[in-house]
Amino acid sequence: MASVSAVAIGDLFGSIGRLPLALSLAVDDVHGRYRRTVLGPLWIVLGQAAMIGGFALVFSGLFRMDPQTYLLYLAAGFPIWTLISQFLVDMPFAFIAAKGVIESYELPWLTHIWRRSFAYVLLFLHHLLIFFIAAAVLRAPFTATMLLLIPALCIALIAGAGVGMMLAALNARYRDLQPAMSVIAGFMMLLSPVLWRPEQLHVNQWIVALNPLHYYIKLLRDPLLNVAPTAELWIGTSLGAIALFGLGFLTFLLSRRRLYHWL
Amino acid sequence: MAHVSVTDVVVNYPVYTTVRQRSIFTYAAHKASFGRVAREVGHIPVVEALRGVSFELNDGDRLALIGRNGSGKTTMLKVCTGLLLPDRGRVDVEGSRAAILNPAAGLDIDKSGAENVAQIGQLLGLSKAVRKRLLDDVAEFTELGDFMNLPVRTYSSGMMVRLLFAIATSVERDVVIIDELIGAGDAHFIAKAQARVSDMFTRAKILILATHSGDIATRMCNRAIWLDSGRPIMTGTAHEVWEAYKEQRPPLEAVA
Repeated sequence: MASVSAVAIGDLFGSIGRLPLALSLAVDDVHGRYRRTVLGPLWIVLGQAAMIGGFALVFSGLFRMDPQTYLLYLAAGFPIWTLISQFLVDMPFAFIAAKGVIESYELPWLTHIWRRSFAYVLLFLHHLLIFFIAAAVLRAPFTATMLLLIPALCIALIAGAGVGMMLAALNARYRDLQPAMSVIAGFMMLLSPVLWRPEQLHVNQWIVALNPLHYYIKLLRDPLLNVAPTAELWIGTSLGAIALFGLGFLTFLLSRRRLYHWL
Repeated sequence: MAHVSVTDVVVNYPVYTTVRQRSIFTYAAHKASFGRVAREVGHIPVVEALRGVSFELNDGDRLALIGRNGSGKTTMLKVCTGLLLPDRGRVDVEGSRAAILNPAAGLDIDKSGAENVAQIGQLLGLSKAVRKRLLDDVAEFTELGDFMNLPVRTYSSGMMVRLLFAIATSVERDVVIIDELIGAGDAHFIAKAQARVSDMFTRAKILILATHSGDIATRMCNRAIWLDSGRPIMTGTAHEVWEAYKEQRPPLEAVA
Protein backbone atom coordinates (compact mmCIF):
# COMPACT_ATOMS: atom_id res chain seq x y z
CA MET A 1 0.00 0.00 0.00
CA ALA A 2 1.24 3.44 -0.94
CA SER A 3 0.73 4.93 2.49
CA VAL A 4 3.32 2.64 4.11
CA SER A 5 5.98 3.97 1.74
CA ALA A 6 4.83 7.50 2.48
CA VAL A 7 5.13 6.88 6.23
CA ALA A 8 8.57 5.27 5.89
CA ILE A 9 9.93 7.97 3.58
CA GLY A 10 8.49 10.69 5.82
CA ASP A 11 10.21 8.96 8.72
CA LEU A 12 13.56 8.94 6.91
CA PHE A 13 13.45 12.64 6.07
CA GLY A 14 12.07 13.50 9.49
CA SER A 15 14.94 11.66 11.13
CA ILE A 16 17.50 13.42 8.95
CA GLY A 17 15.97 16.75 9.98
CA ARG A 18 16.39 15.72 13.60
CA LEU A 19 20.01 14.58 13.40
CA PRO A 20 21.04 17.20 16.01
CA LEU A 21 18.49 15.67 18.40
CA ALA A 22 19.88 12.18 17.71
CA LEU A 23 23.38 13.47 18.41
CA SER A 24 22.44 15.09 21.70
CA LEU A 25 20.63 11.91 22.77
CA ALA A 26 23.74 9.93 21.85
CA VAL A 27 25.96 12.20 23.96
CA ASP A 28 23.54 11.63 26.78
CA ASP A 29 23.60 7.86 26.32
CA VAL A 30 27.40 7.75 26.46
CA HIS A 31 27.40 9.87 29.62
CA GLY A 32 24.55 7.89 31.11
CA ARG A 33 26.44 4.65 30.87
CA TYR A 34 29.03 5.90 33.32
CA ARG A 35 26.79 8.11 35.40
CA ARG A 36 27.45 6.35 38.66
CA THR A 37 31.23 5.91 38.31
CA VAL A 38 33.97 8.26 39.44
CA LEU A 39 36.14 7.99 36.35
CA GLY A 40 33.19 8.31 33.99
CA PRO A 41 33.86 7.66 30.29
CA LEU A 42 37.53 7.15 31.15
CA TRP A 43 36.56 3.57 31.94
CA ILE A 44 35.97 3.01 28.25
CA VAL A 45 39.47 4.21 27.48
CA LEU A 46 41.08 2.19 30.26
CA GLY A 47 39.37 -1.02 29.19
CA GLN A 48 40.50 -0.59 25.62
CA ALA A 49 44.05 0.37 26.70
CA ALA A 50 44.38 -2.81 28.76
CA MET A 51 43.27 -4.94 25.79
CA ILE A 52 45.60 -3.29 23.31
CA GLY A 53 48.55 -3.40 25.72
CA GLY A 54 48.02 -7.09 26.37
CA PHE A 55 47.68 -8.00 22.71
CA ALA A 56 50.69 -5.88 21.73
CA LEU A 57 52.84 -7.59 24.33
CA VAL A 58 51.95 -11.13 23.27
CA PHE A 59 51.34 -10.82 19.55
CA SER A 60 54.34 -8.69 18.56
CA GLY A 61 56.51 -11.63 19.72
CA LEU A 62 54.21 -14.18 18.12
CA PHE A 63 54.10 -12.42 14.75
CA ARG A 64 57.74 -11.29 14.96
CA MET A 65 56.81 -7.72 14.30
CA ASP A 66 58.38 -4.51 15.46
CA PRO A 67 56.51 -3.91 18.76
CA GLN A 68 56.13 -0.18 18.14
CA THR A 69 54.65 -0.48 14.65
CA TYR A 70 52.41 -3.29 15.82
CA LEU A 71 51.21 -1.29 18.81
CA LEU A 72 50.08 1.58 16.59
CA TYR A 73 48.48 -0.85 14.15
CA LEU A 74 46.51 -2.41 17.00
CA ALA A 75 45.65 0.89 18.67
CA ALA A 76 44.14 2.03 15.38
CA GLY A 77 42.51 -1.29 14.47
CA PHE A 78 40.90 -2.15 17.79
CA PRO A 79 38.66 0.91 18.11
CA ILE A 80 37.64 0.42 14.48
CA TRP A 81 36.67 -3.16 15.17
CA THR A 82 34.72 -2.14 18.27
CA LEU A 83 32.85 0.42 16.14
CA ILE A 84 31.96 -2.16 13.48
CA SER A 85 30.98 -4.83 15.97
CA GLN A 86 28.58 -2.48 17.75
CA PHE A 87 26.71 -1.92 14.52
CA LEU A 88 26.39 -5.69 14.20
CA VAL A 89 25.76 -6.69 17.82
CA ASP A 90 24.10 -3.75 19.54
CA MET A 91 22.07 -2.22 16.71
CA PRO A 92 19.56 -5.12 16.60
CA PHE A 93 18.17 -3.73 19.88
CA ALA A 94 17.50 -0.26 18.44
CA PHE A 95 13.72 -0.55 18.01
CA ILE A 96 13.04 -3.07 20.78
CA ALA A 97 14.80 -0.95 23.39
CA ALA A 98 13.10 2.23 22.20
CA LYS A 99 9.56 0.87 22.54
CA GLY A 100 8.68 3.18 25.42
CA VAL A 101 9.91 6.26 23.60
CA ILE A 102 8.21 5.21 20.38
CA GLU A 103 4.90 4.85 22.24
CA SER A 104 5.20 8.09 24.13
CA TYR A 105 6.55 10.71 21.76
CA GLU A 106 5.91 11.54 18.16
CA LEU A 107 9.42 11.03 16.80
CA PRO A 108 10.72 9.46 13.59
CA TRP A 109 11.54 5.83 14.32
CA LEU A 110 14.81 6.08 12.46
CA THR A 111 16.00 8.66 15.00
CA HIS A 112 16.74 5.62 17.17
CA ILE A 113 19.06 4.26 14.49
CA TRP A 114 20.93 7.57 14.23
CA ARG A 115 21.04 7.92 17.99
CA ARG A 116 22.81 4.60 18.35
CA SER A 117 25.06 5.21 15.35
CA PHE A 118 26.25 8.50 16.81
CA ALA A 119 26.80 6.92 20.22
CA TYR A 120 29.05 4.29 18.59
CA VAL A 121 31.05 6.98 16.81
CA LEU A 122 31.42 8.93 20.07
CA LEU A 123 32.73 5.82 21.82
CA PHE A 124 35.09 5.29 18.89
CA LEU A 125 36.48 8.79 19.37
CA HIS A 126 37.01 8.02 23.06
CA HIS A 127 38.89 4.87 22.12
CA LEU A 128 41.08 6.78 19.68
CA LEU A 129 42.52 8.66 22.62
CA ILE A 130 44.74 5.63 23.28
CA PHE A 131 45.92 5.65 19.71
CA PHE A 132 46.86 9.31 19.92
CA ILE A 133 48.64 8.82 23.24
CA ALA A 134 50.56 5.86 21.81
CA ALA A 135 51.39 7.82 18.66
CA ALA A 136 52.65 10.76 20.70
CA VAL A 137 54.76 8.58 22.95
CA LEU A 138 56.25 6.70 20.01
CA ARG A 139 56.78 9.98 18.13
CA ALA A 140 54.75 8.90 15.14
CA PRO A 141 54.15 11.81 12.76
CA PHE A 142 50.83 13.67 12.94
CA THR A 143 49.96 14.80 9.41
CA ALA A 144 47.05 16.23 7.47
CA THR A 145 46.43 12.73 6.04
CA MET A 146 44.84 11.89 9.38
CA LEU A 147 42.02 14.31 8.59
CA LEU A 148 40.86 11.86 5.93
CA LEU A 149 39.44 9.94 8.86
CA ILE A 150 36.51 12.37 8.87
CA PRO A 151 35.13 11.53 5.40
CA ALA A 152 35.98 7.88 6.05
CA LEU A 153 33.87 7.97 9.20
CA CYS A 154 30.98 9.51 7.29
CA ILE A 155 31.03 6.66 4.80
CA ALA A 156 31.22 4.10 7.59
CA LEU A 157 28.35 5.82 9.39
CA ILE A 158 26.07 5.58 6.35
CA ALA A 159 26.96 1.94 5.79
CA GLY A 160 26.44 1.24 9.49
CA ALA A 161 23.08 3.00 9.64
CA GLY A 162 21.99 0.91 6.63
CA VAL A 163 23.03 -2.33 8.30
CA GLY A 164 21.44 -1.02 11.49
CA MET A 165 18.02 -0.41 9.91
CA MET A 166 18.07 -3.91 8.54
CA LEU A 167 19.15 -5.63 11.76
CA ALA A 168 16.91 -3.56 14.03
CA ALA A 169 13.80 -4.31 11.97
CA LEU A 170 14.60 -8.00 11.47
CA ASN A 171 15.54 -8.54 15.09
CA ALA A 172 12.20 -7.16 16.22
CA ARG A 173 10.54 -9.96 14.28
CA TYR A 174 13.11 -12.73 14.77
CA ARG A 175 14.51 -12.47 18.26
CA ASP A 176 17.34 -14.95 17.77
CA LEU A 177 19.04 -12.75 15.19
CA GLN A 178 20.96 -10.76 17.80
CA PRO A 179 22.63 -13.74 19.52
CA ALA A 180 23.46 -15.05 16.05
CA MET A 181 25.07 -11.70 15.20
CA SER A 182 27.21 -11.90 18.37
CA VAL A 183 28.54 -15.25 17.21
CA ILE A 184 29.13 -13.99 13.68
CA ALA A 185 30.87 -10.83 14.92
CA GLY A 186 33.25 -12.84 17.12
CA PHE A 187 34.09 -15.06 14.18
CA MET A 188 34.50 -12.13 11.79
CA MET A 189 36.92 -10.44 14.15
CA LEU A 190 39.36 -13.29 13.70
CA LEU A 191 38.79 -13.35 9.95
CA SER A 192 39.37 -9.63 9.59
CA PRO A 193 42.79 -8.02 9.67
CA VAL A 194 42.57 -6.38 13.09
CA LEU A 195 45.10 -8.41 15.07
CA TRP A 196 47.10 -9.45 12.01
CA ARG A 197 48.14 -7.79 8.77
CA PRO A 198 46.75 -8.86 5.40
CA GLU A 199 50.28 -9.39 4.04
CA GLN A 200 51.00 -11.92 6.80
CA LEU A 201 48.33 -14.18 5.37
CA HIS A 202 50.17 -16.44 2.97
CA VAL A 203 47.44 -18.97 2.32
CA ASN A 204 43.70 -18.46 1.92
CA GLN A 205 44.05 -14.86 0.84
CA TRP A 206 40.45 -14.86 -0.27
CA ILE A 207 39.60 -14.44 3.43
CA VAL A 208 40.72 -10.86 3.11
CA ALA A 209 39.70 -10.21 -0.47
CA LEU A 210 36.11 -11.38 -0.03
CA ASN A 211 35.63 -9.89 3.42
CA PRO A 212 33.62 -6.68 3.07
CA LEU A 213 34.58 -5.63 6.58
CA HIS A 214 38.23 -5.60 5.54
CA TYR A 215 37.63 -2.66 3.19
CA TYR A 216 35.87 -0.58 5.82
CA ILE A 217 38.55 -1.36 8.40
CA LYS A 218 41.23 -0.33 5.91
CA LEU A 219 39.34 2.83 4.98
CA LEU A 220 39.29 3.94 8.62
CA ARG A 221 42.74 2.69 9.60
CA ASP A 222 44.81 3.98 6.69
CA PRO A 223 44.36 7.69 7.54
CA LEU A 224 45.37 7.04 11.15
CA LEU A 225 48.57 5.36 9.96
CA ASN A 226 49.28 8.30 7.65
CA VAL A 227 48.34 6.46 4.48
CA ALA A 228 45.83 8.05 2.10
CA PRO A 229 43.20 5.44 1.08
CA THR A 230 43.29 4.64 -2.64
CA ALA A 231 40.65 5.97 -5.01
CA GLU A 232 39.31 2.44 -5.51
CA LEU A 233 38.84 2.10 -1.78
CA TRP A 234 36.94 5.41 -1.50
CA ILE A 235 34.70 4.55 -4.43
CA GLY A 236 34.12 0.95 -3.44
CA THR A 237 33.23 1.68 0.16
CA SER A 238 31.02 4.63 -0.84
CA LEU A 239 29.05 2.52 -3.29
CA GLY A 240 28.82 -0.21 -0.69
CA ALA A 241 27.53 2.29 1.87
CA ILE A 242 24.87 3.57 -0.52
CA ALA A 243 23.78 0.03 -1.36
CA LEU A 244 23.62 -0.97 2.32
CA PHE A 245 21.67 2.15 3.21
CA GLY A 246 19.20 1.49 0.40
CA LEU A 247 18.81 -2.13 1.41
CA GLY A 248 18.41 -1.22 5.07
CA PHE A 249 15.78 1.40 4.30
CA LEU A 250 13.91 -1.06 2.11
CA THR A 251 13.86 -3.55 4.99
CA PHE A 252 12.51 -0.84 7.28
CA LEU A 253 9.89 0.19 4.74
CA LEU A 254 8.69 -3.37 4.16
CA SER A 255 8.47 -4.13 7.87
CA ARG A 256 7.06 -0.79 9.05
CA ARG A 257 3.42 -1.88 9.00
CA ARG A 258 4.07 -4.90 11.23
CA LEU A 259 6.95 -3.42 13.20
CA TYR A 260 4.92 -2.14 16.13
CA HIS A 261 3.22 -5.53 16.55
CA TRP A 262 6.64 -7.14 16.80
CA LEU A 263 8.02 -4.90 19.52
CA MET B 1 -7.12 23.47 11.65
CA ALA B 2 -6.96 19.97 13.02
CA HIS B 3 -8.69 17.10 11.36
CA VAL B 4 -8.85 13.34 11.89
CA SER B 5 -10.32 11.08 9.30
CA VAL B 6 -10.55 7.32 9.74
CA THR B 7 -12.08 5.27 6.94
CA ASP B 8 -12.91 1.56 7.12
CA VAL B 9 -9.87 0.74 9.18
CA VAL B 10 -9.00 -2.92 9.59
CA VAL B 11 -6.14 -4.02 11.87
CA ASN B 12 -4.99 -7.60 12.31
CA TYR B 13 -2.52 -8.54 15.03
CA PRO B 14 -0.21 -11.49 14.45
CA VAL B 15 0.00 -13.52 17.64
CA TYR B 16 3.22 -15.43 18.16
CA THR B 17 2.57 -18.34 20.46
CA THR B 18 5.80 -20.33 20.19
CA VAL B 19 9.45 -19.37 20.31
CA ARG B 20 9.94 -21.09 16.97
CA GLN B 21 7.68 -18.55 15.32
CA ARG B 22 10.15 -15.85 16.35
CA SER B 23 13.26 -17.66 15.16
CA ILE B 24 15.01 -16.67 11.97
CA PHE B 25 16.60 -20.13 11.75
CA THR B 26 13.27 -21.92 11.97
CA TYR B 27 11.94 -19.53 9.36
CA ALA B 28 14.90 -20.28 7.07
CA ALA B 29 14.43 -24.03 7.56
CA HIS B 30 10.72 -23.66 6.86
CA LYS B 31 11.36 -21.80 3.59
CA ALA B 32 14.23 -24.04 2.51
CA SER B 33 12.10 -27.16 2.93
CA PHE B 34 9.18 -25.61 1.02
CA GLY B 35 7.10 -25.57 4.18
CA ARG B 36 7.62 -29.20 5.20
CA VAL B 37 9.68 -28.32 8.28
CA ALA B 38 8.22 -26.29 11.16
CA ARG B 39 4.70 -26.05 9.82
CA GLU B 40 3.51 -23.70 12.56
CA VAL B 41 5.77 -20.99 11.14
CA GLY B 42 3.50 -20.78 8.14
CA HIS B 43 0.35 -20.49 10.25
CA ILE B 44 0.67 -17.59 12.61
CA PRO B 45 -2.68 -16.91 14.28
CA VAL B 46 -4.13 -13.49 13.60
CA VAL B 47 -6.44 -11.53 15.87
CA GLU B 48 -8.81 -9.15 14.16
CA ALA B 49 -8.52 -6.15 16.46
CA LEU B 50 -10.45 -3.70 14.30
CA ARG B 51 -12.88 -4.69 11.57
CA GLY B 52 -13.97 -1.61 9.70
CA VAL B 53 -14.08 1.48 11.87
CA SER B 54 -14.78 4.92 10.39
CA PHE B 55 -15.17 8.37 11.85
CA GLU B 56 -14.43 11.97 11.04
CA LEU B 57 -13.38 14.56 13.63
CA ASN B 58 -13.00 18.31 13.22
CA ASP B 59 -11.94 21.15 15.50
CA GLY B 60 -13.81 20.96 18.78
CA ASP B 61 -14.74 17.29 18.48
CA ARG B 62 -14.16 15.16 21.57
CA LEU B 63 -14.59 11.48 20.94
CA ALA B 64 -14.94 8.80 23.60
CA LEU B 65 -14.22 5.18 22.68
CA ILE B 66 -16.34 2.92 24.84
CA GLY B 67 -16.36 -0.85 25.05
CA ARG B 68 -15.36 -3.84 27.11
CA ASN B 69 -11.80 -5.05 27.56
CA GLY B 70 -10.38 -6.31 24.28
CA SER B 71 -12.93 -4.51 22.14
CA GLY B 72 -10.26 -2.60 20.19
CA LYS B 73 -10.19 0.77 21.99
CA THR B 74 -6.44 0.90 22.54
CA THR B 75 -5.76 -0.44 19.05
CA MET B 76 -7.90 2.37 17.66
CA LEU B 77 -5.86 4.90 19.65
CA LYS B 78 -2.61 3.38 18.38
CA VAL B 79 -3.83 3.70 14.83
CA CYS B 80 -4.63 7.38 15.44
CA THR B 81 -1.14 8.02 16.83
CA GLY B 82 0.48 6.36 13.80
CA LEU B 83 2.09 3.55 15.80
CA LEU B 84 0.02 1.01 13.92
CA LEU B 85 -0.62 1.27 10.22
CA PRO B 86 -3.97 -0.23 9.25
CA ASP B 87 -4.02 -3.37 7.11
CA ARG B 88 -6.86 -1.87 5.16
CA GLY B 89 -8.55 1.51 5.15
CA ARG B 90 -7.15 4.99 5.56
CA VAL B 91 -6.14 7.20 8.44
CA ASP B 92 -5.38 10.89 7.99
CA VAL B 93 -4.43 13.09 10.89
CA GLU B 94 -3.76 16.79 10.36
CA GLY B 95 -2.23 18.65 13.27
CA SER B 96 0.31 17.89 15.95
CA ARG B 97 -0.40 14.89 18.13
CA ALA B 98 0.17 14.07 21.79
CA ALA B 99 -0.55 10.63 23.12
CA ILE B 100 -0.71 9.29 26.64
CA LEU B 101 -0.95 5.56 26.08
CA ASN B 102 1.54 4.06 28.45
CA PRO B 103 2.49 6.56 31.12
CA ALA B 104 5.15 4.27 32.60
CA ALA B 105 7.18 4.30 29.38
CA GLY B 106 9.68 6.95 28.50
CA LEU B 107 11.22 7.73 31.90
CA ASP B 108 14.90 7.09 32.54
CA ILE B 109 15.07 5.88 36.13
CA ASP B 110 18.76 6.68 36.58
CA LYS B 111 18.21 10.33 35.85
CA SER B 112 16.72 12.89 38.17
CA GLY B 113 13.23 14.19 37.63
CA ALA B 114 14.60 17.46 36.30
CA GLU B 115 16.92 15.68 33.85
CA ASN B 116 14.03 13.58 32.64
CA VAL B 117 11.97 16.68 32.03
CA ALA B 118 14.86 18.16 30.03
CA GLN B 119 15.27 15.02 27.93
CA ILE B 120 11.58 14.58 27.29
CA GLY B 121 11.40 18.25 26.33
CA GLN B 122 14.04 17.49 23.73
CA LEU B 123 12.18 14.44 22.49
CA LEU B 124 9.10 16.58 22.10
CA GLY B 125 11.12 19.01 20.01
CA LEU B 126 10.68 21.99 22.36
CA SER B 127 12.99 24.98 22.20
CA LYS B 128 15.35 25.77 25.09
CA ALA B 129 13.17 28.56 26.42
CA VAL B 130 10.05 26.40 26.35
CA ARG B 131 11.94 23.56 28.06
CA LYS B 132 12.86 25.89 30.90
CA ARG B 133 9.24 26.86 31.36
CA LEU B 134 8.24 23.20 31.19
CA LEU B 135 10.54 22.41 34.10
CA ASP B 136 9.06 25.18 36.26
CA ASP B 137 5.56 24.16 35.33
CA VAL B 138 6.18 20.48 36.10
CA ALA B 139 7.95 21.23 39.39
CA GLU B 140 5.07 23.37 40.50
CA PHE B 141 2.35 20.95 39.48
CA THR B 142 3.94 17.79 40.86
CA GLU B 143 4.94 19.39 44.19
CA LEU B 144 7.92 17.04 44.15
CA GLY B 145 10.17 19.65 45.76
CA ASP B 146 13.72 18.39 46.33
CA PHE B 147 12.82 15.06 44.76
CA MET B 148 13.07 16.79 41.37
CA ASN B 149 16.86 16.55 41.76
CA LEU B 150 16.94 12.92 42.89
CA PRO B 151 17.02 9.92 40.53
CA VAL B 152 13.60 8.68 39.48
CA ARG B 153 14.69 5.31 40.89
CA THR B 154 14.01 6.70 44.36
CA TYR B 155 10.43 7.76 43.56
CA SER B 156 7.32 5.96 44.67
CA SER B 157 5.02 4.84 41.86
CA GLY B 158 2.60 7.63 42.69
CA MET B 159 5.39 10.18 42.30
CA MET B 160 6.39 8.75 38.92
CA VAL B 161 2.84 9.02 37.68
CA ARG B 162 2.67 12.61 38.89
CA LEU B 163 5.84 13.48 37.02
CA LEU B 164 4.82 11.82 33.77
CA PHE B 165 1.35 13.15 33.94
CA ALA B 166 2.60 16.70 34.46
CA ILE B 167 4.97 16.47 31.50
CA ALA B 168 2.40 14.91 29.22
CA THR B 169 -0.22 17.52 30.00
CA SER B 170 2.11 20.53 29.78
CA VAL B 171 2.53 20.47 26.04
CA GLU B 172 -0.06 21.96 23.76
CA ARG B 173 -1.04 19.81 20.83
CA ASP B 174 -3.86 19.91 18.30
CA VAL B 175 -4.91 16.30 18.68
CA VAL B 176 -4.75 14.69 22.11
CA ILE B 177 -5.07 10.92 22.38
CA ILE B 178 -5.48 9.37 25.82
CA ASP B 179 -5.92 5.82 27.02
CA GLU B 180 -7.77 5.13 30.26
CA LEU B 181 -6.28 7.45 32.84
CA ILE B 182 -4.94 5.52 35.75
CA GLY B 183 -5.84 6.63 39.23
CA ALA B 184 -2.44 6.29 40.88
CA GLY B 185 -1.61 8.98 43.37
CA ASP B 186 -3.36 10.34 46.41
CA ALA B 187 -6.74 12.03 46.51
CA HIS B 188 -5.17 15.48 46.46
CA PHE B 189 -3.30 14.64 43.26
CA ILE B 190 -6.31 13.06 41.58
CA ALA B 191 -8.39 16.19 42.15
CA LYS B 192 -5.58 18.34 40.77
CA ALA B 193 -5.09 15.98 37.83
CA GLN B 194 -8.75 16.13 36.90
CA ALA B 195 -8.72 19.91 36.87
CA ARG B 196 -5.61 19.88 34.70
CA VAL B 197 -6.99 17.32 32.28
CA SER B 198 -10.16 19.28 31.72
CA ASP B 199 -7.99 22.31 31.09
CA MET B 200 -5.86 20.37 28.60
CA PHE B 201 -8.94 18.95 26.94
CA THR B 202 -10.46 22.36 26.46
CA ARG B 203 -7.22 23.62 24.88
CA ALA B 204 -6.86 20.66 22.51
CA LYS B 205 -8.67 21.04 19.22
CA ILE B 206 -9.50 17.35 19.01
CA LEU B 207 -9.62 14.81 21.78
CA ILE B 208 -9.84 11.05 21.44
CA LEU B 209 -10.00 9.04 24.62
CA ALA B 210 -10.71 5.48 25.62
CA THR B 211 -12.55 5.10 28.88
CA HIS B 212 -14.59 2.82 31.09
CA SER B 213 -16.01 5.74 33.02
CA GLY B 214 -19.40 7.12 32.05
CA ASP B 215 -18.63 10.21 34.07
CA ILE B 216 -15.48 11.00 32.03
CA ALA B 217 -17.11 10.06 28.73
CA THR B 218 -20.17 12.24 29.17
CA ARG B 219 -18.41 15.13 30.88
CA MET B 220 -15.39 15.38 28.57
CA CYS B 221 -16.76 14.28 25.23
CA ASN B 222 -19.50 15.26 22.85
CA ARG B 223 -19.31 12.16 20.68
CA ALA B 224 -18.79 8.47 21.33
CA ILE B 225 -18.29 5.17 19.56
CA TRP B 226 -19.17 1.87 21.18
CA LEU B 227 -16.75 -0.81 20.03
CA ASP B 228 -17.41 -4.50 20.38
CA SER B 229 -14.94 -7.13 19.08
CA GLY B 230 -13.39 -4.51 16.83
CA ARG B 231 -16.70 -3.43 15.28
CA PRO B 232 -18.40 -0.13 15.93
CA ILE B 233 -21.86 -1.09 17.09
CA MET B 234 -23.10 2.38 17.94
CA THR B 235 -22.11 5.93 17.11
CA GLY B 236 -23.73 9.03 18.50
CA THR B 237 -23.51 11.67 21.18
CA ALA B 238 -21.51 10.65 24.22
CA HIS B 239 -24.64 10.69 26.32
CA GLU B 240 -26.81 8.40 24.23
CA VAL B 241 -24.02 5.92 23.50
CA TRP B 242 -23.11 5.70 27.18
CA GLU B 243 -26.74 5.15 28.20
CA ALA B 244 -27.08 2.32 25.70
CA TYR B 245 -23.74 0.80 26.67
CA LYS B 246 -24.60 0.91 30.34
CA GLU B 247 -27.63 -1.26 29.69
CA GLN B 248 -25.82 -3.31 27.01
CA ARG B 249 -28.62 -2.38 24.64
CA PRO B 250 -27.31 -1.68 21.16
CA PRO B 251 -29.65 0.22 18.83
CA LEU B 252 -31.82 -1.95 16.62
CA GLU B 253 -30.18 -1.16 13.30
CA ALA B 254 -26.82 -2.30 14.66
CA VAL B 255 -28.20 -5.68 15.66
CA ALA B 256 -29.66 -6.28 12.22
